[in-house]
Amino acid sequence: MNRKIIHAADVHLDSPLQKLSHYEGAPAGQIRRASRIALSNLVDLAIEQSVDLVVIAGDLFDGDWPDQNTGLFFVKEASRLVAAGIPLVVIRGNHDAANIITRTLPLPRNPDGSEVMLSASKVDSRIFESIGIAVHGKSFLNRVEKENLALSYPPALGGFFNLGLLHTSLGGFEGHDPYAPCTPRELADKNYDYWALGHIHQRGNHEVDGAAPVVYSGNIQGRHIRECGPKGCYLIEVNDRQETKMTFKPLDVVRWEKFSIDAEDLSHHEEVVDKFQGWMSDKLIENESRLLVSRVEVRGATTLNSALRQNRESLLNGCRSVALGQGADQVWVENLKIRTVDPARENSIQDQEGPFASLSAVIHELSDQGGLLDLISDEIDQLKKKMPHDLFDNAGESSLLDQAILQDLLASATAEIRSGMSKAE
Amino acid sequence: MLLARLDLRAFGKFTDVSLDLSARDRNFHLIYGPNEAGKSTSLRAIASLLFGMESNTDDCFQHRPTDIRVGGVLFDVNSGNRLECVRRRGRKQTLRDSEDRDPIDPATIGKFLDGVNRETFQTRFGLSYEALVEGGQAIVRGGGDLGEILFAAGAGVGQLRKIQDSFESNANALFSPRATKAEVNAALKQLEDDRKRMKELLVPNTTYERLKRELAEHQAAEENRKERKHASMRKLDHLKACRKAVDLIPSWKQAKEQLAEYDSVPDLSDDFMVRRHGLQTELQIAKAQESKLKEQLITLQQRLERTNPDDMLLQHDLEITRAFQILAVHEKSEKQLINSRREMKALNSKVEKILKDVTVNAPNEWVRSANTEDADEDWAGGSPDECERIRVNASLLLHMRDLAQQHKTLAKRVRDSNDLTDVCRRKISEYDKELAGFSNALDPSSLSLVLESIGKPELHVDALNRQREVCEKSKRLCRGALSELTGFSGDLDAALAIALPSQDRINKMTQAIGNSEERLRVRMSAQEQKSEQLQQLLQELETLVENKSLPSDREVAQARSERDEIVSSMTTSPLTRTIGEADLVNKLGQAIKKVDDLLDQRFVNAEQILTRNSLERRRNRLQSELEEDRKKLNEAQAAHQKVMAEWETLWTDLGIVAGSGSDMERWRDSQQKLRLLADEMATEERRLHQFYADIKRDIDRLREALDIADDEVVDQRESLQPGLFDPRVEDQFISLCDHASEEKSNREFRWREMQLLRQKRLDQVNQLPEAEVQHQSAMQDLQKWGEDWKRTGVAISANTPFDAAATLVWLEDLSELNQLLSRRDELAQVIRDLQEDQDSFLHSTSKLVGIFQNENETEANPLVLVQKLYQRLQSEKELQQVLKRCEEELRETSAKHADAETQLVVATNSLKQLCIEAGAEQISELPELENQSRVKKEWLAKFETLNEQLIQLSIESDLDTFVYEASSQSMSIWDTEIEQEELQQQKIAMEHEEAFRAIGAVENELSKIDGDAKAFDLRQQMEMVTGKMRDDVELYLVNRIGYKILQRAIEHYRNENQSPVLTIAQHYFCELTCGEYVELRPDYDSAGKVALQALHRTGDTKLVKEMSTGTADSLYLALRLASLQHQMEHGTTMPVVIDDCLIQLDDDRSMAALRALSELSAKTQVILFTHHQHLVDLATSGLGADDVKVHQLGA
Repeated sequence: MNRKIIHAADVHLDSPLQKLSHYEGAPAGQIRRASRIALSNLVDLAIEQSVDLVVIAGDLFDGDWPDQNTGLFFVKEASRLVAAGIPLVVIRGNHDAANIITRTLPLPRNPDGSEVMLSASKVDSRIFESIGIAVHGKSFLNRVEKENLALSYPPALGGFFNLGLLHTSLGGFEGHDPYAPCTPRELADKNYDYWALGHIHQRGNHEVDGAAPVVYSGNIQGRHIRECGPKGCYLIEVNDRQETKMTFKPLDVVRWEKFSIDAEDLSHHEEVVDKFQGWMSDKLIENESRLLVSRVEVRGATTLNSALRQNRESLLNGCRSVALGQGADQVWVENLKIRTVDPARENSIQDQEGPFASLSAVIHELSDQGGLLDLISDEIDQLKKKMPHDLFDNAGESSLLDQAILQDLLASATAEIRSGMSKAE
Repeated sequence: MLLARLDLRAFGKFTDVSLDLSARDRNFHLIYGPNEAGKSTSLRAIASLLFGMESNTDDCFQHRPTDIRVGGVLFDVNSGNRLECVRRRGRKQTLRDSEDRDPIDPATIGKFLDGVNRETFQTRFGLSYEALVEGGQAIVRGGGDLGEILFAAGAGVGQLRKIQDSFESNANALFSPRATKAEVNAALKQLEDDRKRMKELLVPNTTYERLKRELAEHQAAEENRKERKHASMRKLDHLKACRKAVDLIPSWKQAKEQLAEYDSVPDLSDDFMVRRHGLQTELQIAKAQESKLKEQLITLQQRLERTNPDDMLLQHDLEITRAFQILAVHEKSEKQLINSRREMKALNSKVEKILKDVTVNAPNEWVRSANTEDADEDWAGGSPDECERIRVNASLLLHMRDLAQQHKTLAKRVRDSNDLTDVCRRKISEYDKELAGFSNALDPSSLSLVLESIGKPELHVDALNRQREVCEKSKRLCRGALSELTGFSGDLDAALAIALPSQDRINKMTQAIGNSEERLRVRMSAQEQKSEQLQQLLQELETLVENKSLPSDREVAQARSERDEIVSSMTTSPLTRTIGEADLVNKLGQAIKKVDDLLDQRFVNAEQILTRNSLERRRNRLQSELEEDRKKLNEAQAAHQKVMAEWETLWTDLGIVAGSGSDMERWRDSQQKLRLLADEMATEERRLHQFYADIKRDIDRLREALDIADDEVVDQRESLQPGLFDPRVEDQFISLCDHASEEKSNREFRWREMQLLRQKRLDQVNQLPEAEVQHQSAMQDLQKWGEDWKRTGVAISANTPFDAAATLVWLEDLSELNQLLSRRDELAQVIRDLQEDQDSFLHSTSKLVGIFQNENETEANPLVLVQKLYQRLQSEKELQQVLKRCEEELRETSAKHADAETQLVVATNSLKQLCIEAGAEQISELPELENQSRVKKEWLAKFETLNEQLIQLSIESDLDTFVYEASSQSMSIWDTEIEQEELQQQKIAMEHEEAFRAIGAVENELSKIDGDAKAFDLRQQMEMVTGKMRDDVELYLVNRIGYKILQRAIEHYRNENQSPVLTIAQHYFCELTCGEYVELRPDYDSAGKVALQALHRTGDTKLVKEMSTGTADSLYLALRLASLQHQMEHGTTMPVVIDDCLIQLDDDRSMAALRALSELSAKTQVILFTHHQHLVDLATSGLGADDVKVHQLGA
C-alpha cells in the first residue's frame, strides 16, 4: 500500500515578519498574514495531493502571542483538513507548550475520532489501522524541556509504518535553545521508519547511515533575514516496504534572501545598485510569484568604504527604486548593510596628520566595546528607558549592544565625519 | 608631492598650454587670468590630473570628450621621483604615459599622492575666498573656541560647526528624551497607541473563556428566569381566577339554593308539554272516528243479507268450465281420428309390398314365417307377433350390419398396423447402418470450451505485440537514460547497482570544489593582472632603453676601473712610463673622458635614469609578487587538484567519470530517473512474460483439445523457445486457433448429424412396440369380430355365416321395413288413443248434463246443454263477486273500527303515563307541573354555567376549596395581590430583557472571535514600526557617536597642536594684520572653555567674537597657513592651491598675505589663482623675482 504523509513543523502561526521597515511603495499588502497563508498552503497541498496523514512537529503557535483568533484560525484550517478525510497529528513544542490559547480551542477530531493534539503527560501512539501508520509523539509540558524525551518513546509497532514525532534540538544547533536533547543514534535505535522533527528552522536530514531518516522540515515561512531561502514541508511517499521518498514542497509566501556583495568587486559605490538589479532579476525567476524580501550586504575591505557608508541611504533607496520599478510589486528591500572596512591606511596621511590623526586616535581609543559604550552611555540609558527591551537585552544581531553592531555604527559615524571634513570648500 | 608642470593639452578652452611650476627658492606661483581667462579651468585641471576627471565635467565644450587631456609632471620631494603623465576622461585606465600611449597603473600616482584623495586635497590643501569668509564667520560664531578654531583650520573645514550642528540636529530629529515629534519618539508614541489598540483587538484566552462562561451562566439564569416567569404567570392566573370567582360565587350560591328548593319538582323533558297536547288531540280524533265506522258496519251487514247466489252451479264450476273448454278439442280429435285411419291403411299396403321383397331374399325361416302369417283387416303386414319378431331380427341385423361395416375398418387396421411395424423395423435397420458410419465422430464441447475461454486470438496477439512495443519503449527509455549517465560505461544493471554518496557529502564536496575553484580563479586573475602589469613595465623599460641607451652603473664602474688601472700603471711601472708616457697620458685622458662622458650622460638623463630605476624597482617588486602569487597559485592548484582528485576518486570508485557538481547532480537525477525507468521496464517485461505464458498455455490447451500428438507438441514447443519477441509464437497460435475453429465446426456438424440419426432411430425404436401393439390389437379385434359375426349370424340363421357385403344390401331393405313397421305401430297407438278420448268425453258430458237437466228441457244434445250450463255459470259468478266485495268492505271497516278503538285506548293510556311521569294524579295538574319544571331548569342551567366557569377558574384545584379560597378574601385584596404579581412579572420581564441584551452582547462578542487577523495585522504593523524605529535608533546613535568623537577629536587636536600652531599662526596673524595684533593666546572663557584671544599692539586683548569680519578672516587665514606649515613640517608636502582669497583685503594686507604665502612656499608649493591685476602688481613689486613666479593665462 502506497501512502503519502506531510511532515511540517514550526508554523509559528501569526508570528510577524521581523525588522521590516516600511518604506514608500513597499509591497506591504504582500506580507500580510504570511504565516496564515503558508498554513493554508499546507492544507491545500495536503488536499491536492490526497495525502493520508499530516503531522506537525511542534511550535504551531508562538508562546507569547495570546490572541484566541490565532487558535481559531488554526481550528478552521484543521477542520478543512479533517473534512477532507485527512487525519492530523500535532505535538506542542517549546513555543506553544506554554501557550494557553490551545486550552480552550474547539479542535476538531480526526476522521477516526482520535484527537489532533498528542498528550504532554505521556508518549501518545496514534494507530491508523486503515493506512497502516503508527505515530508516536509527546508534546512539551513546559517551555523548557531538558529531558531526553526520545528515551520514553515505545519500540516500533510491527506491521506498521512507525513515525516518531518529536520537538528536539538533537545535539544542539547554534541559535536554538537545547531542548529535549537526544542523538540521531538514539532515534535510529527505536527502529522507526521516519522521525519527523521540529524546533530547528533549517531543514535537513540527520539520519544515521542505514537507519531511518531523521528529518527537520524547517519552518513553513521564514520570519526574518536569518531564515533565508525556501521554506515549507516534506511530502513523504511510503511504499508497501515502508521505504520513504521525501520531496520538499515550498509553502512560503514571502521568501527572505540575503545578497552579499564583495566590496572588492566594486569599482564605484553605485555599482551596488547595478549588482542588486542583476541578482534581483535572477531571484524573481527563481522565486516564482512569491514576495522576495531581500537584504543587501556589502562586505570586505575597500577604498569605497566611506563612499558606501556615506551613500548608504541613497544606495538603499536606489535598490528600493529598482525593486519598485522592476520588481513588479514582488520585491521588498529590507535593508542595506554596509559591512565594509577601509583597506590598510598606514600610508595615508589622512589619518596620520592634523585633525585626521586626532580623529584616528580617538576612534582607535573607542575600538574596544567598553570605550564606545562609555561614550554613548547617556544615550543608551535614555533609549533604554523608552525603547523595547529586546533592542538592548538580547544577545545576537537584534541587540544594539552587540559589539559588531556598535563597531558598525562607529564606522558609519567616522565615515560621516570624514565626509563632512572632506567636502570641498 | 609637488607639481613641476601642468599641461593643459586639451582642456576647457585651452589647447597645448603648459605651465611650468618647477621650484626655485620659493615655490610660489601666481597664476593670473582675467575673467573668462580659464582660471577656474586651470584649478580643475590640477585636481583632474591628480585624481581623474569627474564624469560631469564642464570642460568638454571645445574639445570632444574623448580628446580631453590634461598632463603634467609630479615630483616627490622625499624620494625625488618624478612622474610625467597624462590624464584623460573615463573610468578605467585614465592615467597614461606622457606620450598618451600606454596606461599607467593608478598605484603609481597613488604613491605621489600618499593617500590624499580629491576631497582631502581640496579641503586641506585648498583655500578659496568663500572658505576664508566661512572660516572667519565660523570663528566668530563659535565664540572663539580654540579647539574648534584649530581643528577647523587644520582640516580646512570652514563648516566644522555645521558638521557638528548637523550631527546634533540629525540626532535630535531622530530622538530626544523629551521630544514628541522626533522620529523615534513619534514611533514610540505610535507603538504605545498600537499597544492600546492591540489590547482592544487581542482576545486573550481568559476573555474567550470568560465569555463562554458568562454565556453559559446567562443561559442558566435565563432558564431559571423562565421557570420563575411561568410560576408567576400561573400564580397570576390563579389570582385573577379568584378575583373573577368573587363575582360569580353569589350567583352560583343563589342558583344552588334555588335548585335545592325545586328539588321535589320533577324534571320534565323539554317536549313534555308538546307530547301532552298531542295526546289530547289524538284522543278526540279517535273518539270521532270510532263512532263513524260503527255506522258504516251496520250498513254493510244489511247489504250482505240481501245477496244469495246458486251454490250448486258454482260448486260444479270446474266441471262445467272444463266440459265447455273440451268441446273444441273434441271436434279436432274427431277429425284427427279420421285422418289417422286413412294413413294406417296406406301404410299397411306399403309394408305388404316390402315384405314381399324381403322375403324373396330372406332366409328360408323368414320366408316361411312370413307366408304363414294371417292377414288382419286393419293390419296388412302380418300379425303383431310377426311384426315383433321382425323387429327382434331387425335389431340383430342392425348389429350384423354394424359388424359388417366394422369388418372393413378392422381389416384396414390390421393392414395399417402391419405396415407400420414393418416400416419401423426397416428404418431402424437403415439407421443402424448409417450410425455405423459415424463411429469416429468427436464431441466438440471440450474444444469449444477451450476456444471460448481463449476468445479472439487476435486480441491476445495484439496485446502481446502492444506489450512488446511497451517493453521496447521502456528499454529504449532505459537505454536513453543510461546514455545520459555521462562518464559511465557500464551496463544497466551496473548503473542501477551503484549506490551514490549521500547528498550531504556531495554538497559538501561541490561546495569545497566551488570554493577551491573560486580561490583558483581569484589567484589566476590576480596573476594575469600582475603579469600584464609586468609586461607593460618591461615594455616601458625596453622602450626607455631603446629610446636612449644610458650608461649603466656597471659601465660607469668599468670606465672608472679602466681609468684607475691606467693611473695605477703610470705610478707603478716606470718602464712603461718612459716608453709610452705619451700614450698612457692619452689613454688616461681618453679613460677620464669616457668616465666623464658617461657621468655627463647620466647627469643629463638623470630623470630617465630615475624613471628606469623606478621601473626596475617596480619590475622587481612585481616579479617577487608574481613569484609569491605563483606559489599561492600553485598551492591553490594543488588544493584544487586535491579536492578534484578526491571528487574524482569518489566517482571513479563507483565507475563514473566525475564531472562538475551540477553534472553529478544531473547524474544523480539521471540515475534516479533510470531506476524508475528500470522498475517500469521490469514491470512491463513481467507483463510481457505473462502475456507470453498465457499464449503458451492457450497453445497447450488447444493442442490437448485437438489431441495433437506429443511429438508434434515437442516440436512446436521447441519452436517457441527462440524468445519473447519471436513472431512465430503468435503465428502458431493464430494458425492453431484457426485450425481449432475449423475442427470445432466439423466436429459440431458431424456431432449434430449423428445425434439426429440417433434421435430418429430412437424415435423408431420407441414407435415399434406401439405399432406391434396396434397390430396385435387389430388382429384381436378382427378375431373378436369374427366370433361376434359368427354368433350374430347363428342368431339370425343357422346357415350363417354368409357374406358380409351381400348381407349389407339385404339389411338395407330390412331396415326400411322395420321403419315402416315402427310407424305403423305408432299410428295404431294414435288411433286407439283418439278413440278412447272421444268415448271418455261423451260419457262425462252426459253425466254432467244429467245433474242440471230439467224435466222441461227439450234439448238432448249434451254438447248444446254444456254450452247453456256454461252461460248460467257465468251469471252466478258475477253475483258471487258482488257478495265478496261487500264482505271485504265489511272486514275493512271492522278493522278500522277496531283501530279507532285501539287509538282511543292508547291515547288515554299515554295521558295516564304522562301523569305518572309528572307525578300527577289528574291530567289537569300537568300544565302547572310543566311550568314549575321549566323554572327549575332555568335555575339549573344558570347554576351549571356558573359552576362551569368556576371550575374553569379553579383550574386544577378542587372546586369547593377554590370557592372557599376565593371567598376568603375581598376583591380589593385580590386586586392588590394581582397588582403585586403583575409587578413581579414586569420585574422578571425586565430581568429577561436585561439578560437577553447581555446574552446578545456576549454572543456578539463571541461571534467577533472568529479567527480574524486584525490583532495579527496590527502586530505586523507594529513590527514594521519597530523595524523602522530600530533603523532610526541606529542612525541616532551614529549621529551621537559622530558628534561625540568629533568633539573628542577636536579636543585631542587642540591638546596635541595648540602650542606650535598658535606660535606660527601668531606670526602670520601679526603679518597679515600689519602688526596691529602682536600675540595670540588661549584663555578660559566664562563657560570654562578654552577660547582664543588676540593681543592688540595697544596691549588690549580682544576676544575672537569681538573681532571685525576682516580681522576674523585674517585670523582664519593665519591659522590655516600655520596649520599647513605645521603639518608639512611633520608630514606630507602637497601643493597649496589658493583661489583668489585675498580680494577683500586692502593693499597692505594683501601684500602682507602675499609675503606670508611666499614665506610658506619656502616649505611647500603655493599656487595662487587670481583675476586681480593689482595682486600681480603687488607681487611683482613687493616680492623678489625669486619669491614668486607669475603666470599669465589667456594672454
